[in-house]
Amino acid sequence: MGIGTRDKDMHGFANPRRFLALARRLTPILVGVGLAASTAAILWGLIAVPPDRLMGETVRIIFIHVPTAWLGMAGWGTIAGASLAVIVWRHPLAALAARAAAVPGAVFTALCLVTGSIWGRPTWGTWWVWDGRLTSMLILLFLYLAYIALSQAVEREGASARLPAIFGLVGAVNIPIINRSVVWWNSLHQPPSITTGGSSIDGVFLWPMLIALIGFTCIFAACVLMNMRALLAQTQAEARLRRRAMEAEAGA
Amino acid sequence: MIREALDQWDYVIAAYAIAVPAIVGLLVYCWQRMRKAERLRDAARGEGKRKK
Repeated sequence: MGIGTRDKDMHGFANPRRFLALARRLTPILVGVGLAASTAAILWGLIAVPPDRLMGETVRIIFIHVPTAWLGMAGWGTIAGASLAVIVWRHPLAALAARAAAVPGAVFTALCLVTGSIWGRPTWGTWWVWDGRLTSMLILLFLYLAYIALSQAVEREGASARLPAIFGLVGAVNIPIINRSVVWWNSLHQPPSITTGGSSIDGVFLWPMLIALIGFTCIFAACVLMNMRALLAQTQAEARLRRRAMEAEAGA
Repeated sequence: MIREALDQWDYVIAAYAIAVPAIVGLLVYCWQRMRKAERLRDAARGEGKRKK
């Protein structure tokens, strides 16, 4: 596929009408699949999975903690990817996509910290340690809050969308730090369980966890799509009201 | 009888009791925000059409 064709394909979805048609079809599917898969995975994890040899019953927190951690990082990955599209291609919907991912990403990051802290108490004997993994995840939450505040200020003041986009790209530096933190520094947190070389998690825990990952990812994607539709509708309503005010002014 | 530590299930229940309502709440918030914005847009469009 040539560069020209790829650009054409990407900008095809810059057409709000085409995007809305796709989003309207995808939203209920993502909500339905997301709720069904995550409910099934949680029930499987709480009822059918046996307790772990070392962690006992607390291992069941894995089915909510790992998906929230993944989506906290994937949320910023979405912001960074969309920010790149804003800066390089000036894609009109990319700025909306970045803003739409911020609140769901912040919620999942906060839930990762809370569920991790609850899991840490019975397994590590403490609610919190200032190690690389926990601290970099907390920094991610602060980055989300700063991004939300910045993008709201930019919208209010009518400043350039490139400003939050640059912040989104710079903040992406934290993602590989979170990922590698348990390898680079001593930590109470366990090293990566799933790598390109395979998984150290037993299949009895791995399968419900993978289904939970799929389910919560669908819920996250549905939230991003709904937020994008809300931002787009808001922009269209404001443009109409502005045009009407100008017409009324010209007529007077 | 003195309990030296909480039951392990208490931690599991606490984690799910916080996370599940928060995720459902996020979904409901996004849905309501979208519906409200789309209703406002449709109202603005409808007003425009009536004036023409």
